[in-house]
Amino acid sequence: MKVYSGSLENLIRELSIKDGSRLSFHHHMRDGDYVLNAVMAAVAASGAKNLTLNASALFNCHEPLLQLIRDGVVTAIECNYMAAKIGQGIAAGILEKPVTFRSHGTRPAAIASGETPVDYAFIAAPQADYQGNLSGKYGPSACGSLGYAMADAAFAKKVIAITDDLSETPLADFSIPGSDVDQVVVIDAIGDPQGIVSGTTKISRDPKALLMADMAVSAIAASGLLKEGFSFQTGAGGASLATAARLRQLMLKEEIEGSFALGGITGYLVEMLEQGLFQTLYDVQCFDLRAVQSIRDNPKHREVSAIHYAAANPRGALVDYLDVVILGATEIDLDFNVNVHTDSNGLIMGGSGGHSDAAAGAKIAMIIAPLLRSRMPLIVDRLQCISTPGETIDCLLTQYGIAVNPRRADLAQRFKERGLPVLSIEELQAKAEQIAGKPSLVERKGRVLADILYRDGQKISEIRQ
Amino acid sequence: MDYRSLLFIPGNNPGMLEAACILPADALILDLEDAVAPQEKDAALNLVARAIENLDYGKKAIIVRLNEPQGPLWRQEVRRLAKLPIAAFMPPKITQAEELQMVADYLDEIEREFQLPEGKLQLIALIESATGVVNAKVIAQSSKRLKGILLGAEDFTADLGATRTKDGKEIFYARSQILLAAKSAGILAIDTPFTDATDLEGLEADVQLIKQLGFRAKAAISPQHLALINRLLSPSETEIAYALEVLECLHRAKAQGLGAVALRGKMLDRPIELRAIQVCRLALKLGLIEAEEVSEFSEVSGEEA
Repeated sequence: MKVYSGSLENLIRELSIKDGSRLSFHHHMRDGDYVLNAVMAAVAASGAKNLTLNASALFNCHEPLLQLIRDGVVTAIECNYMAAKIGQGIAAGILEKPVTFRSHGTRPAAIASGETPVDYAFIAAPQADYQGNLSGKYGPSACGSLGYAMADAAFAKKVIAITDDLSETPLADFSIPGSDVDQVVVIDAIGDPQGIVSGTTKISRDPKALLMADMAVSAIAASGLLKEGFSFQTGAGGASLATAARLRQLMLKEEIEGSFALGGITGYLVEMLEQGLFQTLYDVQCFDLRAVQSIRDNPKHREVSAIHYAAANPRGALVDYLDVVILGATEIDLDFNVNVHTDSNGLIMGGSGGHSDAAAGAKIAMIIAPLLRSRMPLIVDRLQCISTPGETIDCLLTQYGIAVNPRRADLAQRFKERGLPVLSIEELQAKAEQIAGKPSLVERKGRVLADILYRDGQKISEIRQ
Repeated sequence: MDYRSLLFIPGNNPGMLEAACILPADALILDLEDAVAPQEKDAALNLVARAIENLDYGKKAIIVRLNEPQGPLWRQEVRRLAKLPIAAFMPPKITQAEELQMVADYLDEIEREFQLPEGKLQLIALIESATGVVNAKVIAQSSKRLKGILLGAEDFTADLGATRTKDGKEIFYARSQILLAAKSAGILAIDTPFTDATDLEGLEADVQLIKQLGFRAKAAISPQHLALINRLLSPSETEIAYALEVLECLHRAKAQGLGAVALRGKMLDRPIELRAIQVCRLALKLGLIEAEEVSEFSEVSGEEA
């Protein structure tokens, strides 16, 4: 029987996970995930040690993991994103080996190639059937897409699905086929719906964000790419939504029918699909309930795997067909290198996610960020932690103007012709420092806490204690 | 002073003071009065002074709302800020001409003491009570330093005991009174802010109404209102085209020595000419027309005839 009749703890005891095994998890339950903590507590109770934990992302809700690191249960971590509470624990030096950071495209590709093999994949599944078919679209903990779990399911040596909604009838609309799944175990709840997705997504009312959104849409229009067949990716933050909102207004006014929007999908992009502004949504992760409903009901809203989304693959990935991606930054340097891994104190509080993948693929990778955060200028001379190389970034847009990467003189020219405020990145930096002063550089020379691997699998940067 | 939009910025909020640099207001009113709690007054004054000294507000005019002239704080605020590039001080709660004159007299002293050019320090009066509205005409003519009057409708309606509504019937008389007082004194009439930040349809109706009444400037408390206010209070393409046609017609008539002239059957008298000049001046300032387009009209370009 594929469906295990006992408890999760019993199943894990029976698995007899050996010391040194490699375990994987996905992050579709986001900050409402119960599965990683429950599985790892059971694994710790089974006595296994020296494990490698490979998660597509770690959120603050995974804080109990820190104790397992201190206890020697987990001795290596690989992930694409790490929230601040986990980052603070790592900064304390509790993990001997550096964390390995990859991107959303690189992680599944590395699992597929065997570069980072997975012994046990534990897949939180909002719905499963008795054959082991899994879906993210149904059940009380529905999260929509299961795009980040697909490579784990396809390539792990053993795949355990954990669900709180076991369907007695076979699933027609599954995300992961039962042929990839060894066992299904039922628990009371796999996540807290409040933490999995937000019920509402609000457009920012911050005047800076709105101004940047206006400027971003003017820049996209000026680039010449906003025409029939336009493709687009943006995030779920207030400023990203504001940009999507302004873009929608313009596309409606100009009667432009785009081709696809990609990545993490919000209700806003769903509305644009329904208004005919895009033909297709490619969804690797749903950000809100509206997106979950749409991926369930609308065949034009398509679930895609992380490999299809973003892997550096000679056969191509969806990011390679992007016209414009809007991305964020915690810091950017004069060579347009971007940091999204650490805060201004050098503490881990994020990760690449799909940042470097989309930047590499899109025709225009536009960073949108306020020139100052509290008293810290966004632009620094030289980053200590590089998430995305500057050669893949086309422009930086702040509330004070747009700095265009010198290798995109064509873009600078187009922006200037449309009357957009184009400045050099040095001029923007000077403006920030005129207001806030130049912060003194805190050089981190302690031991290496994390290695950041770029899309080619090579180390691009490291984070030091 | 030909501001269309004047945005209130709380003087105790560093983030807003910084963000204001890039907002599309014609003028910023940095507020030391109602937005600032009593225990934060000195810190806010320092912050506002440092912001004006260090931030780049570009072409935006900086106005500072002082604390009320009936209280103890406004003099030290004027002393701290007088040397900075401030377009006007805004004393609030002005109810009679004597209060404004008291402030103006103090500005005389400060200009002498700090050896500032005579008349550098200017005023915009905030009228926000029944008595103030009744006395608006006298207030408007009480000082050469006074360049504008702003109606504060929230306090005014509270004083009246009226219900404040979005369509503003309850302030129709006050708006008209402020407008007449300002126009007769040759100074700027500034309309009260529309207080619902998210209701842009309501704002549009409000601005259309005040434009119809004769206002050409409106205060705002939400940055989201600025674009709409600026757009609606800018001369439209049709208005500019007509104004240029009027001036061109009059120019030709003068060159030919004609005393009276008509455009499409309508006599072009002095008020029509003045209105055309006003429209063209504002359009020129806003970059809606090029200087060459009005170079031959001396009253627009500012050259002596």
